[in-house]
Amino acid sequence: MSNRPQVETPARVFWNEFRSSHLALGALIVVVLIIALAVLAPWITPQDPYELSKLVLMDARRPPGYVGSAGFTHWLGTDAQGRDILSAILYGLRVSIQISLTAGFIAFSLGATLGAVAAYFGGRIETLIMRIIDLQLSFPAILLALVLAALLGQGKWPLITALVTAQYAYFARTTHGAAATERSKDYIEAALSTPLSASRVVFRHILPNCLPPLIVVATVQIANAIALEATLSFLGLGLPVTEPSLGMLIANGFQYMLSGRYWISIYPGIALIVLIVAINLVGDQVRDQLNPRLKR
Amino acid sequence: MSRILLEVEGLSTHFMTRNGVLKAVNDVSFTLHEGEIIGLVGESGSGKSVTGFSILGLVDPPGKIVAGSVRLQGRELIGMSEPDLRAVRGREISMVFQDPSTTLNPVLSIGTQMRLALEAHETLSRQAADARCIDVLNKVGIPDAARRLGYFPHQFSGGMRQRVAIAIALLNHPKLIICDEPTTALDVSIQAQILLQMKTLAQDFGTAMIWISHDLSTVSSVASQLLVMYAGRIIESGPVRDLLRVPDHPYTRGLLNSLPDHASPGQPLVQIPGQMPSLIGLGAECAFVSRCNQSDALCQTSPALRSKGARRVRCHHPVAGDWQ
Amino acid sequence: MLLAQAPIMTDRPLLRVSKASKQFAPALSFGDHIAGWLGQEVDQRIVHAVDGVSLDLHRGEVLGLVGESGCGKSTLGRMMAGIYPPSQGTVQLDGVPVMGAGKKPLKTTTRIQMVFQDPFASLDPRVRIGETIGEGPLVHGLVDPANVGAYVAQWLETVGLPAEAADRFPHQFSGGQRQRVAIARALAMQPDVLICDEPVASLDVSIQAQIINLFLTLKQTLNLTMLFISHDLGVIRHMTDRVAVMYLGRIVESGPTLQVYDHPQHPYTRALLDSIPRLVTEGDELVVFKAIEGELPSPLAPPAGCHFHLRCPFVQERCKTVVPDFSDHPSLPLSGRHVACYFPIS
Repeated sequence: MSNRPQVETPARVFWNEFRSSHLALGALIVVVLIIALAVLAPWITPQDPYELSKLVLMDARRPPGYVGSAGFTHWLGTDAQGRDILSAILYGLRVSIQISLTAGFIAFSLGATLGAVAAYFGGRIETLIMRIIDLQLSFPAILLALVLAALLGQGKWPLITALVTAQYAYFARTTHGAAATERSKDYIEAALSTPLSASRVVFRHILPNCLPPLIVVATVQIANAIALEATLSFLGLGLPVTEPSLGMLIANGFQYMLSGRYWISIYPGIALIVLIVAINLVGDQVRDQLNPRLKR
Repeated sequence: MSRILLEVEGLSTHFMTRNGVLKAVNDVSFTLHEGEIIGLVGESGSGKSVTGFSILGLVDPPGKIVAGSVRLQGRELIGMSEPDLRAVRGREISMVFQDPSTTLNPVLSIGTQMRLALEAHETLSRQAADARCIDVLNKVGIPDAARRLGYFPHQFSGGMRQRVAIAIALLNHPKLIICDEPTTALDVSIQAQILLQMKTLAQDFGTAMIWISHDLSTVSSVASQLLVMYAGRIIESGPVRDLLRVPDHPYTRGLLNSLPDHASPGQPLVQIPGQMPSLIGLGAECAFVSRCNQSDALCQTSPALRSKGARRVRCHHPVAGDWQ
Repeated sequence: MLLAQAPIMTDRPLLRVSKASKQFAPALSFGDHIAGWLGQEVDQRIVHAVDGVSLDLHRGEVLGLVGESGCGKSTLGRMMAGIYPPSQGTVQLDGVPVMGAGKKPLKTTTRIQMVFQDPFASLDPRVRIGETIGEGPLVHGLVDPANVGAYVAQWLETVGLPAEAADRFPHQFSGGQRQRVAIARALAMQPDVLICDEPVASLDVSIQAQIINLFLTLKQTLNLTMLFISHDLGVIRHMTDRVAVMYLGRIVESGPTLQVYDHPQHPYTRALLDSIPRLVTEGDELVVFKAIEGELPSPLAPPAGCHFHLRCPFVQERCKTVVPDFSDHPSLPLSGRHVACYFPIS
């Protein structure tokens, strides 16, 4: 077959505009790079920080640049158990990203479906769903997550459950607002007059058109999830000590801060901040591009 | 003939867009006499509204007035400082828009808004100001004006809101009102009331008007002169009746012939094929060439404005002869 | 000639609206409910959009529905298209209700399709043209998935667009082209009745003629039955066989289009025809029109009796209290004139 002509899809137009912002493009590259490093961690790190038998206590609390007993350089130093900080950061990022993305995805699907269903059907269903969500939004997300994490105990899935519960309401609220606007547009009436089924109208027509504000909320919420997960782990409510995420690394190094061994806490902290800032920069650009009021 | 009020010469307003320079207004010239109503007609994207905004210097980036002059009683408005321009706006030239809710402040009573408009240009006592407001409201056909001064915009119907907007435009007895589709959003029966009223007001106050619209028939019902715009240029102008009886530009002719009034019911309408070209990257050829049934090799160059008495046309092949 | 195009007379109308009304009541807020429980009077603000309308649409005819904005013509059109259920009364296609029963009724037929006013709003911006046109026919089994491409191409061609248009998105088209797409989407469902709600109102003048010509061609080639809603009297006169004039939720006059235009019997029809500036040379005046006095009353609180009595030059006492009505005779002969007025202009 001959190649099809280049169609100016909305996605392509969007990408071209995104590309023209150097700051956002840089931030996106950072995000992609961090995710790539985290995914590839088992293959590129010199040490598996979770393999307790490989850790040498003699190498504990060494400053950056120290050449350890295994023969490689600890560029960012080691922690109290003799873990290579750089390796621990990459593994920690891996856990953080994995958990926040999973939680974000579940919260997104759940929230978007609830919001769209509420907007489509209206009446009692809408009132019920939206009141519950309003009630929940009146509590701080962190409080909700703390209580849940404490109740459910340690582990990946309890943590994800806590994050989803704390965040799905934001997605539901945003979707509901956008979907209520889309619901009254002519193209939905056109779909109703064809007629198409309710589920088709909701999932094929209303939801895709609610995506722009949802994507903005999603970027913010993923960054929030990473921070929230780090907070919970920092407080000891997150993952078990054997699988340290970034928050726990920071917490572990905290007691050595005053004795001058700054690297145990600071470097994981920097990694966390860089990731969150980069995601937010990308999110800002996406929001600017998707918000018609800020355009031109 | 009365004295010249406004002279627009070679006015060009361009928008610097991502995809290139958009020539929204391209070398537009016309003259407006005191008390005269001139109609500016064109389809969406023809540059008629931008022309109106350019006269007032209300062009925001990425738009820019790149050339031309606008003289109000001999005073050049292009390049005038912003404070001086503000003094001209509202006092000497005012504007009425399609949607009155964009000009009326929803949280102020119309009395307050009208007093503010007055105080911007002169100092008046409260009584004198109220008397002026009531007088103007009565003139635009709002009954019980004294009581309505305390009303808020949402307490008026759409037609009444537009009357209030017109009253505010008339408040300082401007020499010129630029009306941008003032009746398009209104119902037909209300539109007729406002059209008639505006015509009388222009006569009573001696106010000149530029009436911008896409609707040939409403423009023709108020204006004495007609300017037809297409793709950023004035392609034909002249006295209304004369121009509508014998349109000389193929576009004007096509537009008039395509109205349902000009065919018997159920029969196909005479249609202009195609659509207006993009205003980005207009070439040297006549902008109408691809839709024109008269075009030939000559039309590959942009035609100059030709004149015959009070009529002007920008076409290589105008219908009637004797063009200079 | 008009006679040659006259619709085939049948006894039974294809689409029948019987004493249909539609009220819109905005949802009360939680606070309003509490105020209601506490015995406070809550302002319901019910809009009486359509008020007891009876109307027949016969096979093969084009019926015009004309009126000012807010007169309820769009709401009536949407009830006939099966988008809104009537609050009272019925809408039946060949004797079968257009919408199902229940609290959230759904449209039960694909034989009525609709074309909307604003082609920038009526096409899903994220769906390719081909999918927009092919979706309905696929879902309802009018075409099988293997042939949908050719099917869509055929309808694109019918409305004067190239087959390649199927791959593009709505934003890549001009207003006129989008309206062609919207027409193709409606036609691809192979409807018996096409409801057109102001289909040319948002288009530029030079494009309007193109779309009107397209409708005229489609009407002949596909033998369409159409309801053509417009505020533009010129367009209605050109397009329709019969016309119904609406004022504030009611039909005030109906009859064969040219008869109604040449000899309006209801004072409102007369005033409406007079108030439109038209480029017709009559004597020395180039543009002739007269204004109707007064404002359009609010549909939140329509006046008692005849809705037009506040603006009517011929008003009498009876007009202010008793509604003049012709909806008692739902099966009206096609050629007849009907006027809801005690003192029609003869």
